[in-house]
Amino acid sequence: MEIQSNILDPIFSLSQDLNYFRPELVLLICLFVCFFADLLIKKNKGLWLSSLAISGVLAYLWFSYTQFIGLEEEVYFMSDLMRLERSIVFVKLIFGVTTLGAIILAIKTKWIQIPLSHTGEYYFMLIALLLGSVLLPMANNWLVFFLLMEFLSITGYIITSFNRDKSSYEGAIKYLLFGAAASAIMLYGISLIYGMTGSMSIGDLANGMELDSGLLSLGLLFVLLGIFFKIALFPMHVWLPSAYQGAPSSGIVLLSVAPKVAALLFLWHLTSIIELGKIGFDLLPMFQWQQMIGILAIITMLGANAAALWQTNVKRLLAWSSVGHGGFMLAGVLTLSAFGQSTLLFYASVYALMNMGAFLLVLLIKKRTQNEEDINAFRGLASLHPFLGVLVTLLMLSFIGLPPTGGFMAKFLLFSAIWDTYQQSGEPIYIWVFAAGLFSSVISLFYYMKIPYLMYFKPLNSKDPKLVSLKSLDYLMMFLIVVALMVLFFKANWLMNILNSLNFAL
Amino acid sequence: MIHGEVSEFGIILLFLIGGIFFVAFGLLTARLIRPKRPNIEKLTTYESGEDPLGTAWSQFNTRFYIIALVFILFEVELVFLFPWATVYADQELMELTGGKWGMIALVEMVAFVIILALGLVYLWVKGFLNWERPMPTGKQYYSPIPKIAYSKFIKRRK
Amino acid sequence: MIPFAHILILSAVLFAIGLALVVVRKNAIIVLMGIELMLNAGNLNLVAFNQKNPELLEGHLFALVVMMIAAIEAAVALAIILKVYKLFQSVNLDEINEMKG
Repeated sequence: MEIQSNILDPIFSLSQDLNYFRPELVLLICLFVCFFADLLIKKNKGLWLSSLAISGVLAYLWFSYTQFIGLEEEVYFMSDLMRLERSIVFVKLIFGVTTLGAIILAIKTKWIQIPLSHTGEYYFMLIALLLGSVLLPMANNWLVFFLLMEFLSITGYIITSFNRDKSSYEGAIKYLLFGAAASAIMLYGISLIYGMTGSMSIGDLANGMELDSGLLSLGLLFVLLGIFFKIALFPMHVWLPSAYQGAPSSGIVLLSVAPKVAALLFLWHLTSIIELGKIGFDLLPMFQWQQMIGILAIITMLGANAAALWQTNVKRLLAWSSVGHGGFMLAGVLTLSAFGQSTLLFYASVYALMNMGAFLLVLLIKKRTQNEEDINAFRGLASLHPFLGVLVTLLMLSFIGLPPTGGFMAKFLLFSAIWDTYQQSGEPIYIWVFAAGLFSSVISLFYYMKIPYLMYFKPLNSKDPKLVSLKSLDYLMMFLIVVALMVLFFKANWLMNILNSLNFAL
Repeated sequence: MIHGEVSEFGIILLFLIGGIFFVAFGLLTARLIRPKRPNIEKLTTYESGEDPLGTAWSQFNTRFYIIALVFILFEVELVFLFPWATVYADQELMELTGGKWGMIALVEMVAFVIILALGLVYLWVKGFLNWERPMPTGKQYYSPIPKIAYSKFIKRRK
Repeated sequence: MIPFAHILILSAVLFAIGLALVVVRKNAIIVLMGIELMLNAGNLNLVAFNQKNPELLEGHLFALVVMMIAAIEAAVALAIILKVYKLFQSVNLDEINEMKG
């Protein structure tokens, strides 16, 4: 190997590329500040830690915003290890807001178990999860991708176990064993892809069609399995309900949005490369990737919504609904068009908002009944808190996808994108996805409406001695979320205009 | 082997033979050289420790596991030091870049080790390295005689 | 040079043993061991395939990173399993299943 005297140049040019990492660097600094604050500060620790974490995330949001304005086209940097496009920067904003919501929920819920000695660690983990999920869609190299996937998963396991009780550890161990197995399978797949293409760059996969593609498509299948596990699609979702039931509610607000959407965005990138390289799955000759993802989306939407019908624990119900929404978003990936991506991002923003509202609701109920998670805790609440009743009804309407809420617009746009793709390609799978989506929305009506039904039509269980009444300040945040959802219905074109202005590499 | 060269599998075989030979040679020479005067005390498993009772398949205290976990983490991170060490002091590269190469490599590794050390500091401050001793919980004994009686008795003796 | 096929077969066997352990065994620790086997199968492939593009050392680097990640994962997993054992008095995965539905 001959050595040139300019061997250091790439290293210096790498440090130039750090400019693209500004939001992430802010998060990294925030992590270290939280770390030291946790160790050094003795007085008013909770207050200090919370304000540091919030200001860190706010600074991150500001830097992401400037990046969003400044960035014009897709760039590759760090010698092609990473890539950046405007849709990824948009997702950074969503994740930032979600983290902010999670931290605020964690502060608001002093009465829920996380003790002060673990607060610093908790914020550290939340911000680390944010860091991992903003970096994941940027990966353009299998090593970076695997590293970030593991980063996300391991922080996820730790957040899941944070309640430190029996159900929390049970959820964590299920998540962990399934997750670790999935990542091992994914690693094997990556090694096969590396062997077949001879390159770690994800973009080089597009040359794959010239190669002997038996092992390549097997490797790709394994990698897709790992990603599907992360999004928790129906056969790979077994860990999710228990993990979400055991995890602290404020953590799930982030855990159910950030890794999922990040993995979806990465999946988008990967499928567009598969499409570009015309890679078939030779082992399963019937399947093109459209068929595979389409069938998974159908099973996920129907299965998750059907399973949610029997749930009586609110957190578990929301966990199943989260699986279902993952299926809807996967249907968005199926379109692989610019309009499809806009609708997917719209759906993700609405979903992040709704989820925040839903887990706020869980926390309110837990506060009112002193740690009760059963759905019967909602009985007759509307007579005590009529305003809360209205808010919850609107929130649930949004979950189902009925007007006048953002949820309706999200589903409407998503389905119209799928319909458009069907018109263009004429593949029957799209119409099946379309039908399954509509049908599962109808199913979801029954379990989401259970909560408003219990609130309005069942008598208040007033003999319960543990009841704590709610103050109106408690649901100020809920009010804001519901208002935002309404705005997304009446002024949906504001967000859609922004989303359509993202120029895609497609 | 026709050309007098060994195949890749042959190298593995050579390694195996070499390893076995090395171990056997060491043990054998030690046996030949060392004096041999056994007594009962010397033949115990741990010459200066306690005699083990029962099998080793019993449950150990959790504290051992925690220390072991921490040890594994720090040990495995050091896997990065080995490839680093091979490029750090590369004479050719150092001369070509006027010493900058070494500086860059050093700074990167120092940053890495500092981050690891911070983890250790965290463990230390949070008290996970403390060898928690079981608190001696003496038997609670409730005397039928009230405590005041004792103190009065002591006072009177003074 | 050892032909690729041999290494591929070895790693595939390792992977299959690991997967079988994960699927069949009920002891959480043994499941973890199976996962480590699967990771090592991947590692073996990576190091072997490095021969295709030897001057970049990408495969070797990946293998190192995977070792580190495996250690971290094992540490987190064992910590959680310790806690689970404390609370459930068992590491049998069938018994650690109180939440259903």
